[in-house]
Amino acid sequence: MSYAGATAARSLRRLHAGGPRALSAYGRRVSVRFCSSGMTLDNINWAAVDRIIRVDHAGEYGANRIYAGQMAVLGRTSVGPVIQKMWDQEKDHLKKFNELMVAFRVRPTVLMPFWNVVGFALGAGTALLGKAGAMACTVAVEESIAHHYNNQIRTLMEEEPEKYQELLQVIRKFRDEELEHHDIGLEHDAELAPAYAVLKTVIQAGCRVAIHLSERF
Amino acid sequence: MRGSRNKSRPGGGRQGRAGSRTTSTELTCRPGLAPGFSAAAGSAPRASRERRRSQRRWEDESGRAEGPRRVLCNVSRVAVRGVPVSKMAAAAAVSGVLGRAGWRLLQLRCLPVPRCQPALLPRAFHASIMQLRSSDEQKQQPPPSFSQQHPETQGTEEPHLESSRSPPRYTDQGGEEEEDYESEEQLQHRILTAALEFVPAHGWTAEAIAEGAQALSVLMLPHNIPSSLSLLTSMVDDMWHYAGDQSTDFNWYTRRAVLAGIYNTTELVMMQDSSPDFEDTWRFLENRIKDAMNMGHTAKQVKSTGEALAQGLMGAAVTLKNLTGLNQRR
Repeated sequence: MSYAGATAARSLRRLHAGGPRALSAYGRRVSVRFCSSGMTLDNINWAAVDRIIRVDHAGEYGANRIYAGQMAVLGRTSVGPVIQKMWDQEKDHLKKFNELMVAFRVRPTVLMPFWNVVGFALGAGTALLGKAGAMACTVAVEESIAHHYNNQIRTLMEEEPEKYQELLQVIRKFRDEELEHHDIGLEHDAELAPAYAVLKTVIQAGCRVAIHLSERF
Repeated sequence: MRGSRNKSRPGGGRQGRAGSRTTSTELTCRPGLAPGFSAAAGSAPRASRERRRSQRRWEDESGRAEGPRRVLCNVSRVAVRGVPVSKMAAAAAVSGVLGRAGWRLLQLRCLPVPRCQPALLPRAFHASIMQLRSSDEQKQQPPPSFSQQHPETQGTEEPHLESSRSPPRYTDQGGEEEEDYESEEQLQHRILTAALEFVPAHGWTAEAIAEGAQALSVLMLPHNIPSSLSLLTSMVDDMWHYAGDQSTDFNWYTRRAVLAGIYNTTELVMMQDSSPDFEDTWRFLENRIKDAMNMGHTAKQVKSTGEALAQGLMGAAVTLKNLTGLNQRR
């Protein structure tokens, strides 16, 4: 009986080997079943995945709002369809992260209402500087996001790529699409924006702050 | 102890009711959720009965460090009987609300306030299931009075499982599927009611409730507040998750806050409720849930009214501009 007890203990311990977690981590492990990607349930770095999904979700939400702001100002101009296309892709990204968030039971950042307003203001504000201004904003934000996704990919790869296959796939795909947006922005005369260098630096600094805050809060 | 064992027979009846509830709700295949839970749901009543038996056996040898290990032996016995440990653990996960936090809280509690060991609070009792998994943290032996609260934890698993099988998809970001809000709240209501229902049926005596009040006060000790808060948040998070909440915006926070408020007040009411079968408490709970739903509806109405108002103002502004000729395109 003691042997059986030990076996049971071992199997239970394996199920529960995700490290000490205060928040109903067991419920998470049961509800997450990425059968296709071979992601094992019990040795994911939940803390890291938590942050990654939270900040990416916030980022896509912010990007959504930025494009919404740009469309509100420039929707009826010649650059409107371009922005609309990029906006639709961001909507897809957001939807994907919504699903991941529910699947991994990640809590969204508290600052969501804040990003709602700030994102829209940034988009509308830069669009008021003209089409080039809007494109410059796009270039700055997308570059920031691509850099940030690369960091995340690196983090996950350093841990163990097989564990996070699906997540890595998603992040890689999104990073490639963000880089496309970046290139589209450059094609549409982003560099002709007034005070392009300053604008870009300021926006990217803001993105860094936003990423830092959303990861933690 | 004997008395509570006898009272488990109505629990058997409840199993039947739980079974009928199983058939009435349809299985929604949520990606990633269905396989574990539909399997667990079926085995839950059986598993919880086994666990109850195993834990009663355990309570007889209180005060020994073997407690958890003995439970594990019983777990393995159950596993041999054909209920896979993983499924049972899945069932336990549902009420694994408090998981390690609950266990850690027990440790916390037992250290500074040794006298109060018998008076562990209801929420920590949910963690009794977690004894199974705390083999690596075998520092404490829960006291004998655990037995009275074990049945409550069994009870909380089953309604959780039943309601988790048909979660309505409710998202709030686009304001879509608003009509599901009511069904979700009612589902939520059912969870809470069912969870608290099992308590009196399984011999939640007056003394236990009196002790529960003392236990609540222990929870409120400044030393224990961080862990009691994390207990509360994880429990509320689990409740919403299994009720089917899929919000990913600020709603996530407001809902959990509202539910935490409802739970706390209902618990307080229950502590001092002397009506037969806790009717007052259930009525209170229903009223609070109705209030919460009304608040949600009102908030949405206010929002849509505000939006309509804003659109009206914009329209008025554009009209004015047209009238005064400021909108001429050159």
